[in-house]
Amino acid sequence: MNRLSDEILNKYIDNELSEEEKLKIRQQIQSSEEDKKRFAALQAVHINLKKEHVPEVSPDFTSRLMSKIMKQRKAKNEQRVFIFSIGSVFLIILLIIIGFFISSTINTESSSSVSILNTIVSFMAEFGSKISLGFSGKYISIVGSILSFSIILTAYFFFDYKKHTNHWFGKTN
Amino acid sequence: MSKLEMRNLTDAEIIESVKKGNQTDYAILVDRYKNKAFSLLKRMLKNDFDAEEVLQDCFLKAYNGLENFKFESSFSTWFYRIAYNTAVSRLSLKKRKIENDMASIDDQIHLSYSDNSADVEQEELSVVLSRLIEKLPANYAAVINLFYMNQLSCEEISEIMQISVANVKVMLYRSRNSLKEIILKNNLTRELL
Repeated sequence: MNRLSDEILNKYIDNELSEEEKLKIRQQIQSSEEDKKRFAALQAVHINLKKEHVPEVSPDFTSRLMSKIMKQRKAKNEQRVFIFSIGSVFLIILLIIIGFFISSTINTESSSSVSILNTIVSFMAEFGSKISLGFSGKYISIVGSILSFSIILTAYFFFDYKKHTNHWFGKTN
Repeated sequence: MSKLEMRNLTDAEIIESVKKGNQTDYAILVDRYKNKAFSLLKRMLKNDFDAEEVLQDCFLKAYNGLENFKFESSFSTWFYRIAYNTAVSRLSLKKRKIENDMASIDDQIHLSYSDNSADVEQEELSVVLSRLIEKLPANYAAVINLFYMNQLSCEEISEIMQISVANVKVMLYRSRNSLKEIILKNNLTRELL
């Protein structure tokens, strides 16, 4: 009789054969000394692998990991607050600039008695010209100074934030 | 809820709790899977230090991805997939010869036990096997580890390693056969017969 293949022996060990096939294999194992040895070796591998112990990580692994997660979470919250603060500062500056132009436009238009549509059209035209005026002539230095100051302030806080969280250097702790 | 009560909860219940804002509950999941995942990583990376470092990365990745975890598979399968893929990336990053560490399914594996044969005969079978598992290519070691130490089915392993169930079985059989050959060669089954 031919010797049993490794695949059949593996399937036998994994209980993937029918009862009839298993009976045939048992008979073959009993009748062949070589198959008996091979089967015993494979079974020994199977049994000992089942008993193989699971290695353990260092005892403080969970506490170290959780503290890293908490720091990461805190950094994320700080980042959110930082972005919100910077966004708010920019919005306030923008509103101040727009408010300044609107108030100066309304003051010059208050005496006119044209229709609402004409008022809106002329207001938009005036507003556009005020905006362009803001970036030219005598206002350029004011607008430029405000923007430069905002950018410098943002850059400072951004650098300071990054320095504390070490995000640029790929560290979270 | 006390930690003791939390320990009896399912993975899904713990994940829901973490998603609701109880971040510290994630420690229960960490405790549940850290050793088994460490075992997988250690056998793939062949190094305790790298395995622990990668394990930490994996838990961080899993934590950050928890919001998008849709329970399409079990947490364990999802987490072991993260661990397996991170280990594969680490092996590539380390510029090891990935084709040697990650033997192709078409390759035969050849293990050798080079210690003094007299010593081998004195050693317990389990000790010899532990040393031999260390010598298996990373993907074969992963299959053996997931099947025996993590007690997963071939279907779950195929999902984790993104290969067919047939290929998982081929790798499992080959690993066992290689170990069996060493045992036969060194006559380690003498007391079993």
